[in-house]
Amino acid sequence: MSVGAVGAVGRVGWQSAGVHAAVRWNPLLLGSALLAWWSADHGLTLSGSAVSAWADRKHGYTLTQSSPAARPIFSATGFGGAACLVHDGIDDCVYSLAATGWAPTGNTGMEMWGVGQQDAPIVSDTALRCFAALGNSAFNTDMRQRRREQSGANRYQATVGAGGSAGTGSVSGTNFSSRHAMRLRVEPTRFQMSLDGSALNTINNAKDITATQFGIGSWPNGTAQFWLGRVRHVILTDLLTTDQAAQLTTFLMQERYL
Amino acid sequence: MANLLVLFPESKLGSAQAYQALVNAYYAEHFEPGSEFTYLRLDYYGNWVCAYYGPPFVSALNTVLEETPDMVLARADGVLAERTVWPGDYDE
Repeated sequence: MSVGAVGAVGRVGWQSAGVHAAVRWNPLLLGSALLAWWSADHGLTLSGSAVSAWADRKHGYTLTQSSPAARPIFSATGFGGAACLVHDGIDDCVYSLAATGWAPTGNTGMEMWGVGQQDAPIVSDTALRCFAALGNSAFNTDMRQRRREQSGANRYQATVGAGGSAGTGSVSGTNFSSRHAMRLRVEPTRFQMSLDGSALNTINNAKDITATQFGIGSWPNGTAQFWLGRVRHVILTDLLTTDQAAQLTTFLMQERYL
Repeated sequence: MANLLVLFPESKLGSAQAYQALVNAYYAEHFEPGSEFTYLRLDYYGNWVCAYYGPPFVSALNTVLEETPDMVLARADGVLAERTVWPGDYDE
């Protein structure tokens, strides 16, 4: 079953062609700066309640999961009343091994944004868990947004490959449990990260990414670091202006449905 | 989808492959033609791991899965687990 606009009525994606119709800002209005946008309101292919494919809204870039046992579950209301994908933290993910051209490779700047819910308990779970990851599933040449246990706390961590090494950074002081809006901005010689619109935390690191695979809920190739929680939006963009970033932040903060 | 795993010792690859083949064939025949229900791969500890063909997993038709007698026999060398650790889960 293909789901074209699940739960979209009255929220995302209702831009009207009418001249005077109200249009809520959404990532499509970033224009050419938007590279891809996977929204739980659109583009899902379901098998029963399980997600076998997820197409982005900009180009139709499609992530798939061919193994029924590893498919996330679609929930029409599981994100504070909004739609989301529910990942079990065992093997659930959607991914593509043919993501060449979806995002810049090498040292060209880009950004990865998202809204999700992190459910891994801090007491009994110390696994790394990727929300989204782009690259070739090699630590030194891909980039990851993920959950990491650090000193007994859940933290939002990013890793960015630099070719022969990789940089890592975290947003300290914010508990990464529950629902959050995530931003990872990667420039040629540094990357910055933010949670829920917080000030950007900067890490100096030379980007060198081999962007051939993309995964949501795991490594880019769908084999490890499985997300435990929910996914509502994942967005890839070029480097955004301050105004564009502010608009996207506002949008994603609302999409947390807190 | 929340499901249990079956862990086979590394030396029991043949048993793991037999179980995987049975569940993949059965699921494809009864629920999704052409699908491959579960992968088979090594976990961090060296066990061969695939998904259990039974509750709490429900099929594409919202049917609770149930092993056939052949599957039960093929699973004799394995143990059920709620989770495992994959290579890479703790690295870096």
